[in-house]
Amino acid sequence: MDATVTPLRIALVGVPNCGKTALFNRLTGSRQKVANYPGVTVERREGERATPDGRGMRVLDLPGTYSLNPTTLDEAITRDVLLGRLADTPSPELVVCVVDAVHLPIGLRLALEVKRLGLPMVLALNRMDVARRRRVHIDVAKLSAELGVPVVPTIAVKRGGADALVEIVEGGRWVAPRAFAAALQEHGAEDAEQMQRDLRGLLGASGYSPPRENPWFGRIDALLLHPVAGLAILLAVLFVMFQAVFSWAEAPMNWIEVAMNSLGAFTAAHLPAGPLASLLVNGVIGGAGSVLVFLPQIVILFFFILALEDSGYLPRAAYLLDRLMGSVGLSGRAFIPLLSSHACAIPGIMATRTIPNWRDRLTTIMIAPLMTCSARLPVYGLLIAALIPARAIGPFNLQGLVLFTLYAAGIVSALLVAFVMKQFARDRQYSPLMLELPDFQWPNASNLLLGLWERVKIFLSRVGGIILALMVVLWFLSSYPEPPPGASGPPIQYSLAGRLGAMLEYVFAPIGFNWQIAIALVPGLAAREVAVAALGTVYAMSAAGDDLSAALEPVIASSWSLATGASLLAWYVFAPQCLSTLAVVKRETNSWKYPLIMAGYLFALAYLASFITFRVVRAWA
Amino acid sequence: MGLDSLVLQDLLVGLIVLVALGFSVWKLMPARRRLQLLLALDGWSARHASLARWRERSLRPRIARAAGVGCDGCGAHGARPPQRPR
Amino acid sequence: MKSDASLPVEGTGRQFALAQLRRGQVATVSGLVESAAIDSGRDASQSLVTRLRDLGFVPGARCEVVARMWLGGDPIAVRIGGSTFALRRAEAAAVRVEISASHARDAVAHAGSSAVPA
Repeated sequence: MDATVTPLRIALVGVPNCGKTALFNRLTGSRQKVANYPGVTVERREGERATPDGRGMRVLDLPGTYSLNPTTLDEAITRDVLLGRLADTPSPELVVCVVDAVHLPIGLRLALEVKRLGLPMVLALNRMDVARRRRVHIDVAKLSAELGVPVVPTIAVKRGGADALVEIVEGGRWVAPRAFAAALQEHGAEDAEQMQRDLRGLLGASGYSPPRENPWFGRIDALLLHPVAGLAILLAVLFVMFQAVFSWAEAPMNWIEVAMNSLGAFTAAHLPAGPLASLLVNGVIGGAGSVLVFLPQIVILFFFILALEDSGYLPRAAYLLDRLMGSVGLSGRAFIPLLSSHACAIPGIMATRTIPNWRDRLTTIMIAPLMTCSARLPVYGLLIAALIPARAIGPFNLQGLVLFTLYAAGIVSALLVAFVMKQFARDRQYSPLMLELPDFQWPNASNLLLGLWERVKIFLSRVGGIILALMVVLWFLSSYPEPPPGASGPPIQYSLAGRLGAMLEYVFAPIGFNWQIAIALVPGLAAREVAVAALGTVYAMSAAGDDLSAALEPVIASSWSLATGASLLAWYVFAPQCLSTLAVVKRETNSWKYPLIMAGYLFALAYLASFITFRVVRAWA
Repeated sequence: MGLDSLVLQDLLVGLIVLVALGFSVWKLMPARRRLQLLLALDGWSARHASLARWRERSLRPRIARAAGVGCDGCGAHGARPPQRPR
Repeated sequence: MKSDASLPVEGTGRQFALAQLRRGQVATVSGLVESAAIDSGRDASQSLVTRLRDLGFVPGARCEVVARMWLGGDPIAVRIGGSTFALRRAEAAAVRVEISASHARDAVAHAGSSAVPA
């Protein structure tokens, strides 16, 4: 790239579900998730493309919006980029307005609005293949003439489907439409009516005929949106999803565990004993490696989430649950962020950007950590296996029932917290649903695989990056200072982390935690699942860090009371032990106030729940 | 293999821990603070001719990424939801 | 949309709020009314009634209620302009519709014609 010539800045604008993201992938070659949920493009996506003249182009994929009058954060970003209001992003030199040919009126209306900004513009008439199949008629030449900007048919999902668009952009065959000085000042009623008249004129002039209705869509919706059958289907879908996360993941998780154990044993055997071996075995393999075990569960969970998203089902689930969630002050739109929070609260919290109302968004962010994230599974799994007998109760397994209860406890307490927050809300501004339920489609296999691969990459880079680094630091804190000569207890007791644990024991004794648990909670601050590895380290500092979970289970079964175990389970339903979540909350709310409130209320609830659980179980058992 | 020497091991472990600590602090730092640091580093390296190559090759692209591209640099992090009471 | 607030509501026998329609009923949008229920505290640039218009709820558009939740239809799913939208009762109350005799059940197949009035 020539340093003196900057690439052409292009922005893609369009309504949600118009295939804008697919077109972006087609143009830049970079891959990104394509989904049906309106507003899925919550992250800024930019890609580059080489051009024959050597200048190149830089394509920005703006969040989907129905209008330049924003009602969500996403939509506000789109407007601000187009107006050049965002500090880091100069306004684009060319706007490619992507319009779904199947749903021409709604997209064309936005195109009219964008055109009024006076930026150079090209209209990409996308999904032309589907439009033809559904007998939509559009006279492209007339539309282009009437609109006064180039109009190019595209098929973003087909190879070469954007060639015509590329040709026009590279050829520079676009000019700025007449600029409106007063564009985007609040558009008044006459203005809006003028726009509707223009739209009608355009549709008439281009001989637009609407698509044929697919009778199957109506029938499927009648079932999926039915008040009783629809809810039953939703429950069944969620049940299958959670079952699959546990049962399908079991085998691959065992493989990874075995591989990690052999790696630890191999390292321990081939390195001279000393701090380096301890760091690698206990810190790197035992710490970061213990997180790697959850990769299969995360892949399975995201497989379901991506497939449901791609098919268009998730917004329908939001429709079904809107009333229920509304009664505790949440919007139906909160369903999708909360569902993702079952994998991890971080993507869930980032997904709240599609919620229009600030109060709703904040409530959803605040309760997202109460959803049982996959990092809590190992803690639950360990404790349940150690303390709950595998007894059959009717057709159910007692262990399975306890696990289900813990998930349900998270959801129920989230609804209660939302309800309490609703009572404190000062601004009672109405928060809309107004959610598009997109046409059904079969999930695209290659999109699904690419989406999963993206998730795997993110997860692995996290494990290999920040988690690894934190584990090294925590290993240091729990290894130094070294015990004095002749010390009898485990070395960790004399370390910084150990002393902190001993101090914390005073705090945690009333809820039945011993000093080992108190120590484990400290490194558990970085990521919840690390507490399992930390417990293993405490109980078996001499036995090398491998095989932690397996060795730990009988130790816990014999040395802990049921009350202590139950208390720790109750603690983990609430405990805000995830610094990354708090950091994301800080970033998303742009203030320290909310992460502090979140940590405070979660700790208070965790302590209260554990206290009650401990006392009740001890009195009964 | 020199790893049998405890002193060498201590040095190596100390180095790894320091790098990990620095990396953690860097990663947990707010995006804006990180950009400020990068820019400060850029200004400092401008005065040292020997660093020019490194500055052009690795610092500049990093700043560009931190300033504009990728999730951390996203304008959304500075922006506020439109309905937020101010 | 301000100008529609003064829309004549004569012949109320055939003028309804969209929220009142039964499942499967087809109607024509006759206008939007300002709604304090959904727009209070919002400035005009963020008006939700304006957003309804942007979604295609414009006079002349044909729409069909494809689903209603229990307890009085909140929310409802409306097919308009070839798209389906989930609207709460309060949102759907801002849309005035007209049921003409010619809109029989079999008109559903053409509900997509929506934003292009004949």
